[in-house]
Amino acid sequence: MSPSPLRLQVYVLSRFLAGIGAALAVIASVIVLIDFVELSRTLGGRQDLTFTQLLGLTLLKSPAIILQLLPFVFLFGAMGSFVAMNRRSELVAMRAAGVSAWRFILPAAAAAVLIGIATTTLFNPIASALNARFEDAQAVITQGPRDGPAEIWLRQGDDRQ
Amino acid sequence: MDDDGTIHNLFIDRDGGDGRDSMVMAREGRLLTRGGKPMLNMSHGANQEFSKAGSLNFLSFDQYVLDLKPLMGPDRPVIYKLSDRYPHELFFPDLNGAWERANVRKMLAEGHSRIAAALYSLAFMAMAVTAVIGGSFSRMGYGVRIAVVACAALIVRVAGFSVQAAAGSGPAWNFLQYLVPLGAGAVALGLLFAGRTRAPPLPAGANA
Repeated sequence: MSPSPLRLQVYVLSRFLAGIGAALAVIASVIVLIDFVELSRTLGGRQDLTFTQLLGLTLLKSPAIILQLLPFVFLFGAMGSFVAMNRRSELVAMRAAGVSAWRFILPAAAAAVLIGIATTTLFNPIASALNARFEDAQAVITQGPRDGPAEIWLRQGDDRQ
Repeated sequence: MDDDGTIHNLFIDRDGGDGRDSMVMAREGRLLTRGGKPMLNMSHGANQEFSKAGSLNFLSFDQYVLDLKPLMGPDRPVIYKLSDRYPHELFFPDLNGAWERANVRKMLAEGHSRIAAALYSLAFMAMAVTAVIGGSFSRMGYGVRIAVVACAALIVRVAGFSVQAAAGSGPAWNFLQYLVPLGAGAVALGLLFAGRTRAPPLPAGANA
């Protein structure tokens, strides 16, 4: 039985996506960590903010920054996956077998284009909405009850003196 | 509350913070607007308040006006940052708003930069491939080549942000937002295939 003609492309694509996933995990973790520390420093002084609330604010803010750094996720993810394939001499074997470079670039390029389109049309609006919610929540925390008026309680009595 | 906005036998407790609570009691109060601000005009009552020194101040009054404006929420319209707006708001802004009218170019530049961002993924992927397989084989690894390409990617991205800032003042620059990543990707692929198709130089005297 002859192997599928797309087997090579599928393999390269799977290695590329694994590299992208690993790079995304590392970069996203760093961004979330930095955001969490920053928010803890700026808003954490308020005693009414719990750890869970700080984490929630961080998760609202981070996606927009992660999207800004997404091209670098592709850069380092692609580098990682192709360096790994090169170390295992897989690329050398492909080239020695006469496989065109396009055959192992095109799957990665197609994935980059598709993920880029999904980023622009799907993830970007979601990140914008989450960031807007973060701005609202931050405004309520920083300018709400603290800088606003004190609590007031008003009662109307009955006609009895 | 009566139909004319009159409230009878009022009791108001205000938490001033730091233990400086105050209480106002009045026989009658009326909600009204003065100078565009909501007010509570109270009559025949007394105000009790702790001073900073901790003593109790007692003030009886025939008429006392309480400004309710500070108790209202902020009435300024919420203006989201460009990065917080949806793409359709950037390309088709509501020009009824003064802020939108003043920043329509920046909104357009931000919209184009969102679309161009997808091209950076493609360009950086091409640069990464070029870094790994674009040059000759090296037993020492590809550290230097990868570092050079990473710096080049950083420069390309910073150039993209600069072009976006320029497009904020002149929409004619928006096409450059697409040209920067496309150019970087084309150069990377050009280097990759130029390196692969270039024949190695023949040693001296090989044809002899």
